[in-house]
Amino acid sequence: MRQKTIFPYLLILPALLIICLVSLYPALYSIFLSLNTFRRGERVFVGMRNFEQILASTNFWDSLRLTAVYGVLFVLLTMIFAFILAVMLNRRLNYTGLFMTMIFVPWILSEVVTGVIFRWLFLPGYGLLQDLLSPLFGDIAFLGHPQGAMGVVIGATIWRTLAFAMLLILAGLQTIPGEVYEAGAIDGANGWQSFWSITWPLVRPTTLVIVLLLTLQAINATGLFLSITNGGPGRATEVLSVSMYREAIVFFNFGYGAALAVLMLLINIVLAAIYIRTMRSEVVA
Amino acid sequence: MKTVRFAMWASLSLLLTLLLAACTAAPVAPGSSAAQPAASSNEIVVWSRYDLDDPNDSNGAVLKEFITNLEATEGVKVKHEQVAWDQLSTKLALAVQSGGDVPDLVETGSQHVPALLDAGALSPLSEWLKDEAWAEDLTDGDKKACVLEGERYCVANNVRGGMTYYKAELFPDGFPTGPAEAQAACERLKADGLYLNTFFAGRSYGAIEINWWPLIKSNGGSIFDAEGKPAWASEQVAEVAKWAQGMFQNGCFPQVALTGDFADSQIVWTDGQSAAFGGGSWSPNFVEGLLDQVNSGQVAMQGGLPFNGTPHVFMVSEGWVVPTGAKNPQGAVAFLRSFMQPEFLAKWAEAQFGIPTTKAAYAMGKFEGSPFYENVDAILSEQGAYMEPSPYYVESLDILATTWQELMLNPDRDPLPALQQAADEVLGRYWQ
Repeated sequence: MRQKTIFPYLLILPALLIICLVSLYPALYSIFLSLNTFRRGERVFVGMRNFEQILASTNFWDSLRLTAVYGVLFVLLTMIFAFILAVMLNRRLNYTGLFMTMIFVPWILSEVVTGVIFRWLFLPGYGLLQDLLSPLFGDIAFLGHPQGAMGVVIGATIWRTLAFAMLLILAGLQTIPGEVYEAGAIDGANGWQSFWSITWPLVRPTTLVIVLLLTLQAINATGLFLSITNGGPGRATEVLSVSMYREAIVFFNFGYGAALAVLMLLINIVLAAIYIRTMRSEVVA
Repeated sequence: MKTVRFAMWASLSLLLTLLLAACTAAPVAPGSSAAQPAASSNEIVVWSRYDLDDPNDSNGAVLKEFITNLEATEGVKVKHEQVAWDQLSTKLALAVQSGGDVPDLVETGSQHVPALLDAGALSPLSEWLKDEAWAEDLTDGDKKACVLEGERYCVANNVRGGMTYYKAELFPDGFPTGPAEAQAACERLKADGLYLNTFFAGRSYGAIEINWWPLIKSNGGSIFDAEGKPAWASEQVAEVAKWAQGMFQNGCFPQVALTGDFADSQIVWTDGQSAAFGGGSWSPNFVEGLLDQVNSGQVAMQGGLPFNGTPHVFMVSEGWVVPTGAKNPQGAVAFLRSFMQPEFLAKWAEAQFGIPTTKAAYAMGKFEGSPFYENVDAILSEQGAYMEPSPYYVESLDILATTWQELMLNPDRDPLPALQQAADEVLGRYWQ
């Protein structure tokens, strides 16, 4: 009887070891590193000094603001476009398979490849989209303009992530029974009323999941920023993750970089807690 | 019950994590006996920036051939690891500081030697090389870069530097010889739809080294003081920044110089949209046909722009260092002995488009009689200068490059306060 109880736990032990090795240990070691600094070949315990330096630095607050702007715009625009696409594809139009393939191609490209493509599309003097779109925005060079560069990165991220969000929303839409819409039609509901009173309430739990996943992705996004702008021009796209990369990987300032990582972890935890609370109130409702 | 079960799993996870952490090797302080074991293997571990398996990497091909011959003739095994060029020095410093495995030889530029020395990452070489015949033939291009306070810390194999290449027919009176002449030339060229010059001016320390520091030095300014602290918050540096802001605003330099990488800024030259191109003596490695254009006289070469004084160009001696804690320093010396033989050194310097650091190699190669190398030699001899050192060289210049890029993209911004802010950031982060 005891063996029967222990055996399942033994089966999941390898997975638990891997989780400890690749997730828990690096996280705990990062917290340890954040309390130290490395100078002249020696590790020096500095306590909270890295955190004090970060919180006193205007660059950190600028990066936090940029991360927030990027996150809000990316999540909002992705959800809007994904919803529109999902609703259209849910109607089982002709060539749905072809449209799905076209929408999914960006998703299978790596971040670096996507970044290089977009950098070339907006290269001043050479980029196709640079030439087409700059007259609409006062002939600016997008990658040389603070808001333009952020716009390019947001656009690249949406282009790449749209398929993922659309697919999840589509799956949510397809769980809604057709009879509910029929009942609504009998009661005289028009298109907008059907969407607001039937579709949206039933797909909201799925939407919340997607919003959380996209928000976490936005906070930790690094690849597209590095491959398109490398945090520039100046510091216009140096979001928190790029700042952390620069400190830890470029400057090998591991203590400072680890402290930034710990702060990002705290932000992720707060957002996840807000989501869990919101989900719980949805379930109760 | 749920709480007990959760606590049990959390405790088990934590225990496993602590066990894993205990399995990590304890760091060893550099300089301790445990960090410098006696040479016991026939393997030489080498770090360089080259990809030995890339057929398009001509330098990698030369190095690969050398390693193959060395292994055959000396009976050693060379383990080569490619490291990005802008990470070689910082990765080396980290490897030594963390007490992990360090290589036996690392390729580095002379600008990184003081910082590596300050980090305790370099082995002194004078004693190991005192009986090497080739060391007697080393030129000033090596000694100035590698011998610090009477002790040798690196072996330079070739000297290179920043250069400006310009289309001779577009500058019948020669390249501009001052900031005002540059502005006048810009106006003339703009009428034909050409930029005056294109170069890499992104947020990387290389942009400061190659393009801006020579102008700053010519104007009497400096980047670092004698201790290596930021000295760029000065009127002389701000004057150069103000001029550069005006040149970008006036369309004399392309925007892509600020927003692209090294390759992007070169495209403006290869596409014929720029009358000049700011690169280095290494540029023929990356710009196809450039060497032939120089040798035929179609393209002329120039050093630095004399801003308000003597022109300067950024000069770098590329070479090898033996890290502290190298397991096979004798193997490293054997590697250097073969590498620095005149026949190979001449071949290597030619592949690098640099000047070799021994007289015998210079006599053996294609350096004499070649317009390109004669230009390089003359420019480096007259204008070449080594960058001021700093123990936080890469970090400081990266912060300055970011600020400089912001200034160029915002031409109405006053340079001096921005430069002061960047200096304060470096001082606050690394000097307190």
